[in-house]
Amino acid sequence: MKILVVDDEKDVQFLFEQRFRKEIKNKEMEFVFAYSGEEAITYLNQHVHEAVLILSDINMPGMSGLDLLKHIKQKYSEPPPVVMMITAYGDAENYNTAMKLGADDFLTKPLEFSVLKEKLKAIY
Amino acid sequence: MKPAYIVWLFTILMVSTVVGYSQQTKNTGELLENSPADTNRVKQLLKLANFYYFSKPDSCLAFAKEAAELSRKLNFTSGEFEALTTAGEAFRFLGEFPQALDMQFKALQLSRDMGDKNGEAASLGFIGLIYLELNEYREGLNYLHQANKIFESLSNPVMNAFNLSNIGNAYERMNMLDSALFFQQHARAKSEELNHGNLKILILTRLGIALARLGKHEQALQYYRDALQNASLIGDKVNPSRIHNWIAKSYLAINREDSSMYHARLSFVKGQQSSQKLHILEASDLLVNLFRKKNMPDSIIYYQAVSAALKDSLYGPEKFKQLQLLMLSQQQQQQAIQQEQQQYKNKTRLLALVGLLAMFLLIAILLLRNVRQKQKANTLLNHQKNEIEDTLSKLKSTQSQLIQSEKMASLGELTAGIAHEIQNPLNFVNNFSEVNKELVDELQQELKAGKIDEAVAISNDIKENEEKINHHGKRADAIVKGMLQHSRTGSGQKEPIDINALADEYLRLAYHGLRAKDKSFNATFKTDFDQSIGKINVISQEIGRVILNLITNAFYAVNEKNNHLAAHQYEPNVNLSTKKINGKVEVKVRDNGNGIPQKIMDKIFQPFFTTKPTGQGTGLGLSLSYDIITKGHGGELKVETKEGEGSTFIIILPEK
Repeated sequence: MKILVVDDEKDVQFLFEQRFRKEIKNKEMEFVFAYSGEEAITYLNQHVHEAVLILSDINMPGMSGLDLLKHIKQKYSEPPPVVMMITAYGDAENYNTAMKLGADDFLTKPLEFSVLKEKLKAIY
Repeated sequence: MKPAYIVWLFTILMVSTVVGYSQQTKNTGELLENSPADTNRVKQLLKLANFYYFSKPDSCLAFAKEAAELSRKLNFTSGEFEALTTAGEAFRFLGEFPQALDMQFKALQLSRDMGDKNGEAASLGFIGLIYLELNEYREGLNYLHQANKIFESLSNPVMNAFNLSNIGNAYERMNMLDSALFFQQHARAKSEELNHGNLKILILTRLGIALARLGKHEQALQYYRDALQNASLIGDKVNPSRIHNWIAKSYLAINREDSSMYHARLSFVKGQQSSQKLHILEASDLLVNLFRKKNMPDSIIYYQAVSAALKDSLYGPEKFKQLQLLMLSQQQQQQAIQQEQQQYKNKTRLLALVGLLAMFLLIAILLLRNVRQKQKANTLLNHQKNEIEDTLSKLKSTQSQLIQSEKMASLGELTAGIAHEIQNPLNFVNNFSEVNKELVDELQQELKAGKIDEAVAISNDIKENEEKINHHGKRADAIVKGMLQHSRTGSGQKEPIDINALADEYLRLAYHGLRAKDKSFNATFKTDFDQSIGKINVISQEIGRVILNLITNAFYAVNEKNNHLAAHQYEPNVNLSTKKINGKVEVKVRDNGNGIPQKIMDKIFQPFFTTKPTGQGTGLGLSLSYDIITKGHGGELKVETKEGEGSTFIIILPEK
């Protein structure tokens, strides 16, 4: 299972690699990282249908996570990738906008990786 | 009370019928003896005096004097005035001129006291006549003209004519014959329609005299005869003696000596009959002259003796002495009047002074009151000032509380932003520490299993994670500190600071700080300080923080641009300059970085806004700087920028 993580904080990659050490070692999960919305779209264009799950931050310089969500849900309709939003802004407005745009889930920082793992395992 | 002059005219009518009135006079005399000392007695005395007015001046004088005495005792002023006037005229007829003047001046004073204009004019007229008798023509004319002025204003034709004739007489005596003739003719025209014989006698006689003096003796004699005719008509015993004298003189002038002698003798006799000393004197002198021509020594001697005796009595040294005394008393009287006027003036002056003093006192009191009121007002004002100052200090503290609470409120509004800023590092701290916990477990398992290489690899991961934890912990710390700074109430004191030295110090701090963090960082910087600025009053640590922030931003901007361009394509440069302009101090921080995009220009001073990657900036620097410059120092913080060419931040501070 290939998961695309989009976040402007570069340490996110390191964190995910540490957190999903075993899954990566066991080849249960494969992570790719993009540090902005634009980068994520570039990756998706080059690797069509590779990523089945997208985890995106919302507050990023340039293209925001919500812009990215809107873009993905409009462009990649068949089959639509699962997009989960992970953000420090856990307010109602962000949540409602994300849901309206077709987000599959909405998680807030600081992230509970045990919860995230369960959700990921539930998908597969 | 009838004025004296009317009585005088009526008396003349009475004289013509002396015999007819003798019975009445006796009755009056009897009445007088029995009458008590009251105003009626005064009136009866005056009646008697008037009866003897022309016929017996000495008797007239006696009655008039008694009447005057009694009137004075009774305070019967009008009676006294009439008595004095009559007495004065009697004295004049008797040739007693000093006494005559004395009487008339007293009468004049009384008439003035009474406010009797007719009386005043009559007195002035009589005084004029007496002066004329004394050959004091100018003085006489002066009084006569005064009298005339009053008579004309009173439209009293009888007295007006009489007075005009007297004026003419004065001119005649002054040898101003044309004037004399003019006034006599003027008087005659006024008297023509009047039925006053005595007045006519007088004017006709004087016309004759004036004409005679002009050499027109025939015309003169005509007037003299008319005068005599009028005199006999009214039974005048006084004037004929004099008229005959004039006739005699005119006859002498035209060389009719016999006719002259005849009239001269008639004049002498009639003068004796009426006790007119002047007339007798003049007749005597004329007769002496005539007898001399006839060479009759006895007659000459006789008349010379009469003349000499009369002259002595009329103009003797005794008379002059009396006159001088009178004039002295007149002068004294005038002096007394002047003194009285002076006293009145002094009194008035004193009163004025007292009034003035009272006014000053009043003004002083008013001023004192004003001062007191002002003091009261001042006290009130002071009280109000203190209240206002109290209120002002309360307002100031309220304002600072408001600023503080506004900051807190803005923080409240930015809770979401704060959450993001804090929760991002927290995300790493929490998760890396959890990972480390797992890694430590694994490490222990590997160590128990004796797999050293595995253990070392895991411990390296732990160390790396620990660094991440430390880094993000510090990041959270910096954010919290920035927030605290933002919300802190200014506690620093303003003090005179050399802004050039301060700017230079922070420039070096910023540069070396950046060099220490990032060995690859390099940039040139230039300074241009205006040495004329001197010290300005600022809170040094706050202004220092602003300058540091702007310089750090500038270095960051040029570094960003440098990192995106190949070597030698770009020379990063930061300029720091100060300048004094119109009492204001300008601090400019200029960089040649990429500039600020137009779309974010209005956001750069907002709290938590930053263009730096997450974790590198708090977004509070410019916001805090803006508050420090505008609110803390009453200055301005402006920015000029051009995309791709750089930005200039300008701090403008008031010099004082």
